Amino acid sequence: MPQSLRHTEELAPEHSLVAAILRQVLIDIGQKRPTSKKSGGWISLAEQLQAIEWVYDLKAITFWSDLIGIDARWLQEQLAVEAGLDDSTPRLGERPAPAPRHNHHDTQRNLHA
Amino acid sequence: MRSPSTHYTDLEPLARHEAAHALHGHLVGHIIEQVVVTNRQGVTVSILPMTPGDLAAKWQMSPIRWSAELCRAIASLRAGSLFENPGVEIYGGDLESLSEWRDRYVGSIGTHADWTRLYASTYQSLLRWQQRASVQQAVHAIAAALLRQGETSRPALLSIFEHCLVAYVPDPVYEAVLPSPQRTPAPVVSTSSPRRVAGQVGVDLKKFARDAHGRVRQLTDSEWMFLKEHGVEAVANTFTDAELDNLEAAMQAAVATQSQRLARR
Repeated sequence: MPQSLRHTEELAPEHSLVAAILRQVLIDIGQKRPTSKKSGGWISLAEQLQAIEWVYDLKAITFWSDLIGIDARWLQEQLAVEAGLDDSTPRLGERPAPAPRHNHHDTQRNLHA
Repeated sequence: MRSPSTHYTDLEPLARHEAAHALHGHLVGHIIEQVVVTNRQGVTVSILPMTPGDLAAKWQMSPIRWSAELCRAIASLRAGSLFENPGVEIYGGDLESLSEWRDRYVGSIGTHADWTRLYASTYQSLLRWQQRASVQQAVHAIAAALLRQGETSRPALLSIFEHCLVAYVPDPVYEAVLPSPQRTPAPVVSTSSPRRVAGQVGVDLKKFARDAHGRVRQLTDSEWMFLKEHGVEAVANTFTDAELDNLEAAMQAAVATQSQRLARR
């Protein structure tokens, strides 16, 4: 691999892959002007709806979360929040959401990857 | 002659698609006029309480009610392909109708982010409903009946619903999802004008209890409220002793008048 394409940070290849996939899901959901028909270049409404629905497909998310060893439900919640699908902002009088759970055994696995 | 099972195999997903449209629409209060499942063509004709063109006007009347109606309309469209086979996304006429609802919403109700939140909430509710065993059984039973009928009129469809015990199928539940409040800049507080005391609105201390000629008069309602909050001491230094006597007399007269009014009631 050419030097210019190598990652400078220590990120396992599977992490980069999963990050790229998840990032694309968020980009697809965030597109403000989806086209009515699939054009190949710009995202269509059908593709955007598919991206939104993907966030609620725990099986699909589990495949990717298992690859990098994190909890699928936690990842799902974070995706929904990041995509703006869940209105998680605490309202007046509400307590803020609990901090995310950490899976230490998963962290251990990541170190070996 | 082909057996019914062979004949129906290819049309089963299509029949489930239309059955889901019909069942969902029926349960959320849409009027299902006709369902057609023939020659790989499926159509469900239904009447909704609003059209995309009505959305903005209806929303203005009651955002909560019509937001929930919008969720029901969207879910009815999405329900079709959801019941065909796992992973089938919305397509064809259903997608075109959904696109029209989206365009109207983003054009006159909320932002793109509001729309995605509304769709996400609707889809989650629809999924919960779709995963119920009784819902899946009902859709399969209705689909089989639709295949036998080919073209099903409203009376025939109601009969099918009754036969399939649709009355015992749980209703899908959709919550109104309102757009996020528009953030407006905070009002500018001017520091050059004199600071007002709380409750002082409408009260000018320089003209407190004085008429146009500067003579002491009876108190207005807002001046009474000011006195209740701040006491006579707050205005005493603007009156001479003689004027304060006059003011006290005017206040007593006003109190006496109010007491008489109360006694008459």
